[in-house]
Amino acid sequence: MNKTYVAENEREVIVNMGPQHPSTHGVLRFVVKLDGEKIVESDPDVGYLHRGFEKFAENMTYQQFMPFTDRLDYLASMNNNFAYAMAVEKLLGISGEIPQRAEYIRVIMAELGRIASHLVWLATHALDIGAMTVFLYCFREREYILDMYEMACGNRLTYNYIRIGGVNRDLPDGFLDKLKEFVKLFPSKVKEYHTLLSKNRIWLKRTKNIGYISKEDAINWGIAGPCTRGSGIDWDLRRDMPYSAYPQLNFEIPVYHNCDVYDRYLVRMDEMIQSNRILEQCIQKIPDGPVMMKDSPYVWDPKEDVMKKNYALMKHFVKVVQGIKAPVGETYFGAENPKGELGFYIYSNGEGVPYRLKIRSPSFINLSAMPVMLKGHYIADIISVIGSLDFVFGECDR
Amino acid sequence: MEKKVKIKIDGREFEVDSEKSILQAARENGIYIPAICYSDRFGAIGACRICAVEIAGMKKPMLSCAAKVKDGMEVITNSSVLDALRRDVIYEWDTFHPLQCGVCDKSGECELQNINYEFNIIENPKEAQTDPLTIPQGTIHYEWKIIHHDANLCIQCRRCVAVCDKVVNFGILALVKKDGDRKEIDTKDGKPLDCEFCGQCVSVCPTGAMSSKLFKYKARAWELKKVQTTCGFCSSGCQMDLNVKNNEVLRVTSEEETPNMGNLCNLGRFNYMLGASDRLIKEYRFDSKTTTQDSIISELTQMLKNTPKEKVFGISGSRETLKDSIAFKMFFNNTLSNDNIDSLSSLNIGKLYKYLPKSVNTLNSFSDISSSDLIICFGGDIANEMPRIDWAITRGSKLLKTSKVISAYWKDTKIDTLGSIPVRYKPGKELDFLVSFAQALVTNGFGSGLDGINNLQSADFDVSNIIEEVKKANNISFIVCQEALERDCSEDIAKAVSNIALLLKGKVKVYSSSKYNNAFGDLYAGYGTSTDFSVKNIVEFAREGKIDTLLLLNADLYSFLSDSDAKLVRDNVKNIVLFDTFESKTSFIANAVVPVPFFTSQDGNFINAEGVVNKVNKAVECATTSAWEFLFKLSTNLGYNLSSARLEVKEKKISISGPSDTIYQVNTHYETKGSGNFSFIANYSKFRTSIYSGFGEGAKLAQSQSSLYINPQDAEKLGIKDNEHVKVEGAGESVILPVKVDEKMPIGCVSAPIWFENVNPYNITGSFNNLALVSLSKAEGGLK
Repeated sequence: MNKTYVAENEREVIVNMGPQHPSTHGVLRFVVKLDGEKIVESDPDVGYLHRGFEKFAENMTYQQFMPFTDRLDYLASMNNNFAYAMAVEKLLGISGEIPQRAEYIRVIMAELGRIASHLVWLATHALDIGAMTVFLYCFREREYILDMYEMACGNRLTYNYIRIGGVNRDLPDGFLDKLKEFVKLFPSKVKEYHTLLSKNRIWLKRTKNIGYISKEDAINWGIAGPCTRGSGIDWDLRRDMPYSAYPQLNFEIPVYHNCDVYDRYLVRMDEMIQSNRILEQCIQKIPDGPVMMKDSPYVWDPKEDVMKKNYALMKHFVKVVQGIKAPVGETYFGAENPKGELGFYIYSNGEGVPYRLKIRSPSFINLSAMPVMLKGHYIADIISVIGSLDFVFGECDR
Repeated sequence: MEKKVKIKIDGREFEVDSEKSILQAARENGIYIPAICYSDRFGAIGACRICAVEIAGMKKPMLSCAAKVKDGMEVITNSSVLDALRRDVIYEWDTFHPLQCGVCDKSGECELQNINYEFNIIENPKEAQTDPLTIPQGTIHYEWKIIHHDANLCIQCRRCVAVCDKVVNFGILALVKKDGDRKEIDTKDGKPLDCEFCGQCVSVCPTGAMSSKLFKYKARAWELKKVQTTCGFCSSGCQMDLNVKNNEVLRVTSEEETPNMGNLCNLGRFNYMLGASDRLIKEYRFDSKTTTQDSIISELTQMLKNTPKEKVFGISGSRETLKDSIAFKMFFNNTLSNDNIDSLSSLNIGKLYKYLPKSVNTLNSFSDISSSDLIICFGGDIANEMPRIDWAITRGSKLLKTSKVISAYWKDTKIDTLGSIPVRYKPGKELDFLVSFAQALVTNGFGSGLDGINNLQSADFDVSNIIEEVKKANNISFIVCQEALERDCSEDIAKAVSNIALLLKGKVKVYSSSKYNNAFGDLYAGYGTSTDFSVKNIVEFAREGKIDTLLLLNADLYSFLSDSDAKLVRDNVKNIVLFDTFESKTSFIANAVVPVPFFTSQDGNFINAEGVVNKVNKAVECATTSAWEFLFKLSTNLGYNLSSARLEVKEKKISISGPSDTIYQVNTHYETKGSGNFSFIANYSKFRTSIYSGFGEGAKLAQSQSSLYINPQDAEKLGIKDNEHVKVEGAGESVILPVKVDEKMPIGCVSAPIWFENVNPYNITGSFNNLALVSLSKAEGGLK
């Protein structure tokens, strides 16, 4: 927030929306200049949830920062883990050495995360606009995913499951069966949501031609993820800058061209189906093998070795206490997260902790384009646009 | 005369000093060669073999720590052959190393861990070939004091042996053969460790084999916050890191990059718990009643208002930070507008700097001692007084082999083991030596053209064996010990030393040692210049009733006066106000007691014997305010606002300007006090710098009481053995002391260290003196 608004005539009103507002999805404050009910200007004010994660990172080892990434976009913790691990692996130069099984597990977790995140988005977006039923349906399916996560790593919200060099542990027995069940069931559920919303007159009124952002503006504002694809930009990092096991998987990138809230809604609905397709293929293709790199100076030794071999124990102490000594250099890695491109920029000067770690958070960048989308709309449309941008303040404020 | 040679390391060409080893040359130029056993502190050992490099033209890899550079040498620091060789060494260590990192104190900062990580050891072929049951059990020395040694954790790099031998010059540790062909670090004689307990072996040990018993299981390495500060025990000014956890100092470390090269003595390393001692003064006391700061300030204001200003006197103990010291002086000079103030530094180094001409080099860096051609150590056991000078002498003489040492003292000391030229005089005959030395210098043409050299006194002491060395040397370090400066004839000793320094002007650098950590700070603050009052006059002034109120800043009366004099001062002075950190005999007789935080809880400066203004940083919080803040408040109450701007010292290094070049007349006719067959000397222990240092655990364990050191023949004649008690009758009262038979003591001499709780040796010698003739007799029934 860097502007001070002054009402210029009698018709103009300055309204302060948030930071305590049920529809702002966290602690967002919005200063809106209204002409009657029409928005003349608006300015988002963020930072209420700032916890200084980037500074924290400078004082902890690379592995220690992993739980912090859980708390960025807490609706898609797995995806954050994944992106961070990939960034550090890129810095260490071990991206190509991750065991294939680990890569598949990571993709399964990431795509489940995408579905779970989109379900929460749909639930709250619909709830904000007035459709209560969708909320209950979405959370029902999300529960299914959380149960699977709990099977895999014991947690339901912050997972800390993915490690630099692989994943924490192999999938438990019965996980893939449960996943198969889910994958079979889920498309019918998405159909249900469509019947509830896609042709609903109220839904169409509240979303069609609302929150318009042109293709050019979308590029200029740097927004990413489903929001860009709703503005006709065919861009997805999983396909265009491929990583992990994605090159071996078939999926389509849904793109819509009306640049409004409704099209962003359609993009996400289609993405859930595509994620489901990816999961189907993963179940087919997942190989056997280790889930963690071995013998690398950057990766913790297996616990059995640490307990029995003194060299492994000694190395473990160094890796935990002093941190893995990353090579001198800098790197940037961006991953396609449910919200958009989550990127980590890491600068290493050869010590056990990063010298600088910068997070490119999609929520923050998407949010900053909001004034463009809102101009000329009614005040009630703020809610609808907020919903369509799908931001999470843990990530926006960091 | 340094010669430069050209060498090639890993294809890059460098020009380096021909005296350097390959490892030093590589490190200087930022090329990394792994090494475990090497350190600049003690030079090459050649035990670890990790630092091997390939040299073109040589068949086998060479140890880079030991091999000197040669012109045109081509060195490769990394190759598959070297890697395999280094890995072999690490496999060997790993095979015999127990799986104890989880309980080992060293974990997290262990060099064996680091090297395993660095080489990313993922297998151990040697381990597969070794039956774990055949690995011999190493000895764990539970019986050693302060230092814990577990031979199982040892990788036999011999750093501890090297540091003990080449830095500390004690040489008690060695790699000793045990059963079979197995070797272990142990004491040379196999007896429990009995040494200086400086803990240097602990500080250099790459693994947890040598560890501190006082730190054991207190904290893990990564939990500790390191606060850099200056040691507050003597005026060496060693830089050290206080390792703090939960507002408590748990150990003291020092980095190799510090001016003291990471060396610390027992006092610095093992007495950090003093800051949390139960002997700390925690509350304000007035008339034996606990009170608050505000009320004691108003009481003291009333007291000072009722006393005539010229009847208020002050003594600084030279232990406070420079800020406190300056504030104390300002309080007298400005608030009370008198100059009745002096410091304990005037009892020793103050005398020397009063006479030492300003054209003579003083306050030089200790590292210059190591590089000088000739080191003359006069008048004391420097290892007991200032370990850092002792290390510098050892480095110059034993490691760099650049300097020759002359030790002038009445007994053999540690530096005599360096192959030095001994000059032995009888206690009390210091002046004879100095005067003869000066005379010999004049005879050999030194100092020609100076006024007064023809009237120099002469004495009959043979200095012919050292005068040749002096003539040869271009660069002389002359070290004057505190013990000589505390004799009753010390004014003349100071004059005689000044004469010698002036005669050798241009060639000599004069150092003086002081057990008081901020003695040089007090000199800088201007103590000792007062014409109205000197510490020496305190007894006389008290007896004459000149003193109404006596302010003592960190000065314990019983640490520099005999008991009877201290009592006399107490009885004749109406009010004694004590600012002190620890409870002492004085704190119980003082009318008002104001607590002063220990140096670990203060920000400020100490000035060391190099004249360097060292920073003291607060490591632990404490509730009491520092003395200068208290004095400022008191001053404001008395109607004078002192300015805190004057407390800030901007210089990094101070200089003390002495008088212009003068040759002094020296009076050599001194009668030693007392009567008897033995010369008694009150000297220093390396484990005490004042009474309070005995509250520290390390010092207490190393030496718990003062004893009378006596030659075995004398002891036999008197019929006394170790630990029996003896009655010493001297100039003052008689004192009963336990006996310690010491072969190094000359016949007819006995000594007892001061600043122990069990005895005050000044009772024998009298105040402001440390030498007396005494008679000894066996005391029945021990201490009374």
